[in-house]
Amino acid sequence: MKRLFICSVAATLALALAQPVSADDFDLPPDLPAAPAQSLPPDVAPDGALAAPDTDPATTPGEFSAPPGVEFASAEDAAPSAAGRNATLVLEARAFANRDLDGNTTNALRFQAHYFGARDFGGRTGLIFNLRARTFIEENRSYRFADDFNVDVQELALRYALSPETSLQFGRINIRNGVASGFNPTDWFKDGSLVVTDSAAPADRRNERLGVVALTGTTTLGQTLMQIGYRPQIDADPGTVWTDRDNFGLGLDRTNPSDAWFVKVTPQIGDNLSFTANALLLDDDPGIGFELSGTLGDNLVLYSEMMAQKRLSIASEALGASEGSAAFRDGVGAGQGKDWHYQAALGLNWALSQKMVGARDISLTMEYHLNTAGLSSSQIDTLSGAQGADEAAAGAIHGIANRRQEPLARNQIFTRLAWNDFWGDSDLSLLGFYVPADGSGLAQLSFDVPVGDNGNFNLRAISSFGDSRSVYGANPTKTSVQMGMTYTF
Amino acid sequence: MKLHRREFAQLLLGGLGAAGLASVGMPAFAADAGTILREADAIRNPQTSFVVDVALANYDRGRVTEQTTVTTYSRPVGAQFQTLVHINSPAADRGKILLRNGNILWLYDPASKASVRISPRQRLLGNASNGDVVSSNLVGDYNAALNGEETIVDGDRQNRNCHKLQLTQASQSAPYSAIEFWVDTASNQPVKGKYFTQSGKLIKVAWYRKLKNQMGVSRPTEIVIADGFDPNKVTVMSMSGFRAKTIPESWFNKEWLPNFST
Repeated sequence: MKRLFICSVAATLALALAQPVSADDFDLPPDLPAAPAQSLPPDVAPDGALAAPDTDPATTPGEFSAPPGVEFASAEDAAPSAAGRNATLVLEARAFANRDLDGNTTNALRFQAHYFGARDFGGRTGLIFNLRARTFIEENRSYRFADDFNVDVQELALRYALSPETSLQFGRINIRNGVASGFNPTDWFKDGSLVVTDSAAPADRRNERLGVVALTGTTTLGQTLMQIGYRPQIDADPGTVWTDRDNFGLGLDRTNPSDAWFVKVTPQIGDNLSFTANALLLDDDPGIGFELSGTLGDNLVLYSEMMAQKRLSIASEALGASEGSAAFRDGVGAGQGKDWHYQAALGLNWALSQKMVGARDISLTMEYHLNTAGLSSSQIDTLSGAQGADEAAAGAIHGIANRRQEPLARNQIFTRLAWNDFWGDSDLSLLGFYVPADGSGLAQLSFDVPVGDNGNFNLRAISSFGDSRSVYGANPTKTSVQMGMTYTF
Repeated sequence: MKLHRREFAQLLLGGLGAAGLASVGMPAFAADAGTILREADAIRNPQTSFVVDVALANYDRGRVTEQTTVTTYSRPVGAQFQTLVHINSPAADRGKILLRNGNILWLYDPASKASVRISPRQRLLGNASNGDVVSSNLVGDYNAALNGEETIVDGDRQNRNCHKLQLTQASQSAPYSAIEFWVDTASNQPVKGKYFTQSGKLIKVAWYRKLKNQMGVSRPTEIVIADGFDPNKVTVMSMSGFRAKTIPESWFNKEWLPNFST
């Protein structure tokens, strides 16, 4: 007993000694060791000289009594800003265990280097780059360098500032639109853009797409920001570097299949609502849309995003003029010409209040997705009942929806739960897509653990559910378990 | 203290204009208190467009656990600021930009060119957070009343004679229910602040120290922030390179962020 008492006292004393000097009533500031030096530029006075010596607080005047003319001395940007360094290299190794619908499991490894950022040349001109090199090794398949190593030029563009408020960009650019999390109707150029598809999370997929070759201009008219742009059609032969040549194919046929003109207008409408309207002319077919978001209180973001566009439905585009039996084509609504179709994402992001979760950082996203170019409930029934030659037609419909990155079902629900600092500094997220028409869906669990200052370990599990012929259940990969390690320079 | 992203978010909205809930019964003190607070605000932040480099270090039990550097671009509008926070390090967050324009908060990721609308309470970035990196004036958010003078220990452990200001929330968007704020009687330099939640809990304590001449004014260039719940967690925010810069209003629009260039 005495020994236990001594041990307890010693442990308590040791713990107390380990605490920094800090009174609980906060009368005194904490006593801290100096932090390791960080890469901040030196103090620079407005005239570019080194900062003036420290001054006596008792005698130093406040801003209102500062000498006239001192604060606004000539040299803007006198200090070299650390913000000028803007390139990031991410190395990743990822292991996959994918199980298909027949229950067969395939293991694979992927290594990749991702280098992205911007480099300024003087004050007006800069280069935007986003490059990726990746190689893929799959179990029970011979490694062929030509097929299994790729360099992706996701972005490579010049930017030129005509003035502080007017900027041009030309080259391959990732033009991104939309405020929703699970599906972005106004994100026009996502069709055929993915370079890898190992995550179901839209946020991850946004990192994994090819930009389009385009010329864009952004300027301000009064308090309204305007953007206009042109994406030219690029025709190139298959097998060339411009398309799908081994290792270095640029995929321009995927990202620039037709001419497109676009304009975006973002007026200033108060200090809570954010609104952007857009218009698109894609291969002579018009489209118009908008996004709107706002907050309610400290916890809730509400948003909507809609697009109306003249186009083919997914089934009509997939089956063309003749694929599939007449009954199947009728059943899925194929064979119709271009018409106005509507897409929408309506959602909310709710950061759970402190009253509910204390200091925990948990947020919940809920979205409803509408896609009138997708399949109705009865059309989904036809799709799932495809027999014989129609099975290939059904596969083509799934393929178009995947390529376009839009919901195959007319109505869909998306939800995401994010719990940051779930365990120490580790983050947990769970997301899911659900189709009410056939009860199918897809769920993804992701767990991220920081490793040191620049490393991250990711554990990811994806599973689709529903009948094997349903919208999500037909996914050839039934489950995927992945482990990834990234290091960022 | 680990950088609490929600605190950052709370402070982000703390900068908006507030309805005048004047301190009934203390008109003379309230007027003086408002002037003192306004001058203290002007010392904390230049009341013009400016840029400042900020280094944040998190301590837990006296050990550095995380470090973040950002560059903050601020532009006054009304009583408050529009702010862009450009993350310089750690590497995983490099190039990300936090935009605050009134209640509008966007987080931009250069890798995906995507901007995500976030709520004030929501966690923002992997490592960088702390509302103090976003410029904001207390005068816009709180009603001030003078609560006498006190001699307190400042951030450099020196005794300072201070006005004690009692700040009360003036708008729903203000992040704290109340703040006790000490301002040097001789110079109106901010010295210390205690920040309270709506439930009356002390959420953090900040000491303003290391005065340096920045943009022609002696300003605190280091803020030591202790976690009110856990005194072992401390954030030290060091500011350097204050400089005037003309910043167009268009920069504070999320559609401009892909064009942002330093």
